[in-house]
Amino acid sequence: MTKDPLPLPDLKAEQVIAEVERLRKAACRLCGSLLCPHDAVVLVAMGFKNAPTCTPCLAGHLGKETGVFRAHVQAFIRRHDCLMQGWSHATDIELPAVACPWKDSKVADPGPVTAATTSGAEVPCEAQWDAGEMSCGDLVLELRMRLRALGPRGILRLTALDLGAPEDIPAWCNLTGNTLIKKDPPTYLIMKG
Amino acid sequence: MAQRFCVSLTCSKNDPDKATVAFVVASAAAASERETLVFLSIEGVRLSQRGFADDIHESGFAPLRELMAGFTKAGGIIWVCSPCFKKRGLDEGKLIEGAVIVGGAKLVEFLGGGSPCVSY
Repeated sequence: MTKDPLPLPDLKAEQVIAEVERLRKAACRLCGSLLCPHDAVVLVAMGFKNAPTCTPCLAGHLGKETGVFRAHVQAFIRRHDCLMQGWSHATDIELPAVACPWKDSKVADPGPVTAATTSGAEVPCEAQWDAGEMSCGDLVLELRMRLRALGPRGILRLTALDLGAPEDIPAWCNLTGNTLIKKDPPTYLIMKG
Repeated sequence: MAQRFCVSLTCSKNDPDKATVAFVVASAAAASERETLVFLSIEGVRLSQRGFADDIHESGFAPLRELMAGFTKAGGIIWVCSPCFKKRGLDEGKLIEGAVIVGGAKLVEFLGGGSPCVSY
C-alpha cells in the first residue's frame, strides 16, 4: 500500500469529512470487513485514504500491535482539530449495524480525570497531559513544568508514546523526588513531591 | 553499589575506529568489575540494529560484533538514545540482545550517582 501525499498541516475539516463520506461504504482491502466511519478518519490521519483498510489490518500492515497503534492514533487525532471534526462527523453517521472497534475509544472524550492505581483504586488526577511522541530532554522539561503547576501531592496522568519513556519516566521520578504511582506504558501516574 | 563506568559512543560506520575502541575500553571496564554502560547516540545508535556491526573489523582488534557480544556477556549494559533512534528510522524489532532504548533522564540517573565517562 502506498501513502497519499496530502500534508496534514494543510488539511481542512471539510476535506476530512468528505473522505469519511466517500469511504462510508468501503470494505477493508485486506479482510473484506465493512469500514466503520472512524476507520476512515484513521486512514486520512495515517495517510492511507486511498487504500481502505480497517484499523486492525492497518496496524498489522505497519507492524504495530493493535492496542498500541490505537493509542498512538488517538493521541494524534486529538492534536488536530480537522481530524477531531471528522471524528465527530463519523460518530454522527455511524451505523448500528457496523461493528465499531472505536466504540470505547477515548478520542472524543479522554474520560474523567481519575485513574486506577496498580491496586485498582481510583485516584483523582489534578491534571492530565498527552505528550505524544515527545522524548528525552523535551519530555522531562515540560513534565517538570506541568508537575510544578500542581498543588501539593497533586497527581498527573501522563500519556507518553516515546520508546524511551518506560525507562526515562521512572528514572526522572527517582532523580526529582516525584512519585511514580503507576507505570503502564503509554500511561503513567505521577504524584508531585 | 558497584563502581560505575560509562562509555559514550556517537559513531558507527562513519568512524569504525572509534566504534571499535569504545567497546574495547568498555570491555576492559566490565572485566574490571565495573558496572559498565555503553550509551549509543547519534550515529552510534545504528549499532543497536542486528547485523549492522557485522562488517566492522578494525585491524588489530576483534570484530566489533564479537566485542559487543563479549561486552554484554560480561554484564555490560547498552542503552540507545531514543530521539537519535527515531530520527534515523531504526527498527525496535531489530534491537540487539541487551540493548534498551532510553532518554536523557536515564543517562543522568546513571551518571548522577557518580561515574566517569569517556566519549568516542
